[in-house]
Amino acid sequence: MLRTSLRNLVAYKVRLALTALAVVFGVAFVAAVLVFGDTLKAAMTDAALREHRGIAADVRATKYAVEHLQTPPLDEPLVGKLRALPGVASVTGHVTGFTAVVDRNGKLVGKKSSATGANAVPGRDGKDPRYTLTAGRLPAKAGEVALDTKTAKAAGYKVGDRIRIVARGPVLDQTVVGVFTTDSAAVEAGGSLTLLDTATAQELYLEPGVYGELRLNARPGTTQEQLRAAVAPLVPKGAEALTGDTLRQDDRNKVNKEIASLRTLLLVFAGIALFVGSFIIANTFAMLVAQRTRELALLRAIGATRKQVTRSVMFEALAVGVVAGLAGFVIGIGLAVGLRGILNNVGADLTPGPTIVTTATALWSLTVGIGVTLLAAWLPVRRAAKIPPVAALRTNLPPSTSSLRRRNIAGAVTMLLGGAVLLAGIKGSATGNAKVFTVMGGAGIILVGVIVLTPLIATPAVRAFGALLQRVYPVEGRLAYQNAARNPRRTAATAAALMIGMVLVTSLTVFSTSLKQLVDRTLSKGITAEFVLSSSAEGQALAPEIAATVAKVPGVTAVSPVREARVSVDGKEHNVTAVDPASAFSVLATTFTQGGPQSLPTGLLVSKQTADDRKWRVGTSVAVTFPDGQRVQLPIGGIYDQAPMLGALTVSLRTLTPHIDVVGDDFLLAKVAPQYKDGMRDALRKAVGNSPAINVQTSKEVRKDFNKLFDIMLNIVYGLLSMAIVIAVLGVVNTLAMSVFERTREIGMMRAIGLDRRRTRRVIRLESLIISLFGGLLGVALGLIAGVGGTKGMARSTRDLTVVIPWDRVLIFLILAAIVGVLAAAWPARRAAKLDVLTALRTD
Amino acid sequence: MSTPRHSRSVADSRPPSGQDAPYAAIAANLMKVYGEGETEVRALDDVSVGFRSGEFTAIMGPSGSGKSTLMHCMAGLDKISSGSVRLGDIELASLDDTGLTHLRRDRLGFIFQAFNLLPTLTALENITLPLDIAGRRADPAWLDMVIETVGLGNRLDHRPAQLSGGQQQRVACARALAGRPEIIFADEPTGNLDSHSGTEVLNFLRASVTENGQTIVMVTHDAVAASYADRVLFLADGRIVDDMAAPTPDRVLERMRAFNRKPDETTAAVSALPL
Ligand SMILES: Nc1ncnc2c1ncn2[C@@H]1O[C@H](COP(=O)(O)OP(=O)(O)OP(=O)(O)O)[C@@H](O)[C@H]1O
Ligand SMILES: [Mg+2]
Repeated sequence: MLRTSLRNLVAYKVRLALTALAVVFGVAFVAAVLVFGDTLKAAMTDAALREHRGIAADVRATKYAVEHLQTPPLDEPLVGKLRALPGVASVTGHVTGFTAVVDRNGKLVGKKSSATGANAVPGRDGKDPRYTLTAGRLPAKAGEVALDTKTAKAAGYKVGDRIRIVARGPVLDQTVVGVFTTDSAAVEAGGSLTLLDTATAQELYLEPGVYGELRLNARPGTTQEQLRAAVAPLVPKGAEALTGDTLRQDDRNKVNKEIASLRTLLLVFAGIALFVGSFIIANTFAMLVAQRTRELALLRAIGATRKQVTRSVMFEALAVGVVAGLAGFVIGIGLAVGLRGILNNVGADLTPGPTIVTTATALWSLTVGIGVTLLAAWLPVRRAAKIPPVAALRTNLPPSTSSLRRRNIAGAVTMLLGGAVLLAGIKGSATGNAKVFTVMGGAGIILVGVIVLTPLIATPAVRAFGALLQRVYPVEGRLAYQNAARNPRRTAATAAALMIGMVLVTSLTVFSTSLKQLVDRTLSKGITAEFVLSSSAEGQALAPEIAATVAKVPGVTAVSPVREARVSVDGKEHNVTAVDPASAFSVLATTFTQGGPQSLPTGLLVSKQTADDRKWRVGTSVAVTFPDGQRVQLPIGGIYDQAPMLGALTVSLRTLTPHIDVVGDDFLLAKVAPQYKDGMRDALRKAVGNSPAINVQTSKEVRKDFNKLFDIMLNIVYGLLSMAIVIAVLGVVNTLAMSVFERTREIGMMRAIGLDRRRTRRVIRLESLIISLFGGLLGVALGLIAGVGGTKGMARSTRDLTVVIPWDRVLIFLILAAIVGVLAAAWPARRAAKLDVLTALRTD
Repeated sequence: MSTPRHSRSVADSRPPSGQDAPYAAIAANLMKVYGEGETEVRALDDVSVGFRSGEFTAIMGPSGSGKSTLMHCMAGLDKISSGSVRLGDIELASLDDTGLTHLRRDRLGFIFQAFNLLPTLTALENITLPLDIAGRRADPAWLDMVIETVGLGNRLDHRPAQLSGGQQQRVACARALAGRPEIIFADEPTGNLDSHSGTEVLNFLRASVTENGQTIVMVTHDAVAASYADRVLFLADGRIVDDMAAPTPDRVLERMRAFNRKPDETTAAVSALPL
């Protein structure tokens, strides 16, 4: 039996290779994600560990303190006390924060998100062991900086140059006193590192005399744990003492977590690609088995058992799986390397490091390749085993017309089940993630049901397309339609593969377009200010003095900072927004359902949703616990609705600020008198010292930025889904090639009685068009249903979310499906047209 | 197939023009060589033959004698090695692939031994397929008559799988006739059929020649089938070795037996052949 399997593998090698390709892509995707993840993880871990190497114990702000804008007093006296401890060899204080270098054209050098500033920590010899100076010296007083070589080179700065740097506040003029090399993660990731003297750094990032982190070295004989234990009692509130090992383990965990979430996201798309690939496999094996009915029956007739037949075909699947797994693994490595190159080329500046290929990746690739192939081949192979021996003796086998009834019933039941789950999800009491998963699960089950039912839908759909095509090409249209209708299962499976990708693309497009429009609408409705100022480095706040500067610009009638923090009420955390009560409601459009903003200076405003949840009314006095632990009774003066810029609670700046250490504004909103509008951007830019770290945008531009963000995300999703579409196209190619092969004699006969090559090609092309348009239309239709349904479902909890269907895109998807069809037909059509008439007629 | 069903009266009513009607197809010094060197096979060796309009010719000969090859070359399905083939006034060698395809579409009909019909089309659709491909409207009267002769009655909208072998082959004949081709080539059209179905098909072909003046060239191994023709050509080793007019099953059988006995003798007859 093994021999027959091997012979078949050789005989059907082209076809099996094409099939394997469908799995290869999926496996390559998986392998690429794994390799890419491992590589990035290794590089990032390495960089993080380098930053913390040699540290025996570390004192730093707790995560809670950081999140709540608190800075524990890690000051000079504490450093002194720690130095005095037995077992401590040395203590160094460190302060880091956002600082970027401005080049001669007024632009920031390097990647903003890793533009870092830090204090130089010279040892007794005057050198900082982490940095090697290539020129000059370390900064020693205010106004002096040292730059990493990469940044210095990029901007063309050298020792002695006057340069400008930016942190959270205004632009600072500095003198370069040194240039150094470093293996710091920030620089490796494409950012810059600016060294400052400690006092300046403290002033810029924290407050005078306070460090962000203290690093300790132990005397010989003192273990890390002993050191930590000795330090711990001295550590102030909001800070923690860790051993160096814990610190580094923390780094590792952080990187692992980041990579894991990226990997999970990418693997979802790889899974989709594999799922689509499994259709192709199942379809190919179904076709192979159908073609070989006679041969398999003969095997049975001469005494092979069902099991042997199953095993011999499964062995072929196994071989395809092994090949696919191996090839996918190799291609995946290449993809990962290529991906890194591409990302770096577009400015992602991934942390450099060697490509990491683990045994686990290899094993997973093989497992996935083999697993998917065997699973997908299982059903068709079982059908092969059921072929009765007598089939070998019948000369003229009628086409397999095994009833679709059982399949249709199964499909209908699955759809009903999915519908029930979906309804339970929407109407049920589950909330949050559980709800999302129930709804998505329901939609998924419905999709499976539809896939099961596609053969049923295929017949009328194909007939409809056929009728249309026949109007243009009476003969070719009819032949194409009848070929597509000949085997609804096959047409359905091929179309379903394309459908899956289409469903996802369409539904995500509807969802994202609706969301985009919602954001755009709320922004345009919610902000009445003409200008928005924010840090150009993501996540950075603006120094509070900028608001004051902006307020002084002639023509600016109102400026309010928007400052976010977290507070808790009765043990439950809420987002609190702090604004300037005097100006906030001239820059924000806010509707009050109860009360008004009058009491804001000393009181509290709450969102309608929070008020409803908590059963608060105007006049209720709420005990708010601020980040520093202080509890203040605040009376509710108003309840607002539809205020996109405001959190659950709103207080005045003056109420919040005393309770936080890290004071900064997330953004500023400025209202401008109409007659000043024209030159205002320049005036504002000038007021903030033309700092490239501060964005001065009109509210329209802010909206545009948001729109762009949505578009980028959607494009990434399209990119990730394109793999599934490519695999589906392979499926169409495969099916067509198979059916050309099966119909060799028919084609020969058609050619003999006068169908020329061009029209022979057209028949195949039209068949392809029917299949892909069927898959495309079904996918787009289901995608619209899913997208609209999903958006509507979310609209229940997100006010104002309305469904927006981007018809232009939908049309593009359909056109794409048609193009895909025509392209997929190219090779099979050529083969069909090339068939030699006589040879074709002799084929059996 | 011991007793041919067709009566002699059919044979007697052959169109009188048979002998001096124009040639529908002519092959001159036709050579067809397959392979090269050691594996060279002369499937046709200097064959010259003409088929007159309205004549029903049967081609016989042992397996491998070149019967199918001759038909394929005459029909432009296969390239010839040398010589010439003319259909009406057209020299096949002057046509490219598309030209040949259109020639087949517009002027030739085909009937094969098996697998003649598209399984997805109904009987009627199969019959009109060549016309559809050519984008020609069928002459309704002619089509009605052809369909009438097929005698499928109400089974015209059945698929081939639902028809008997004989019925399928009659549909194939009707398809060949539907476009009123100048000549029909049939390669063992009854080879896969039982005697009853075979007779149906042969009667059909005979009738189309007698009643409509159709030109048919048919390859067969069966003496009875050959006796339906006006003339039988005998091939051996790629050469025409005999040409018999007004064949009867007995004469054909006898001739064939002769040729099995004395293969050398046959070549002598070649020079005596009329073109
Ligand atoms: N494509 C080919 N390549 C090589 N040789 C061929 C090819 N086709 C036919 N032949 C050879 O040419 C000769 C004539 O073949 P042909 O098919 O014409 O015979 P035939 O008279 O139709 O036989 P049969 O009665 O068995 O159908 C044979 O020897 C055959 O082997
Ligand atoms: Mg033959």
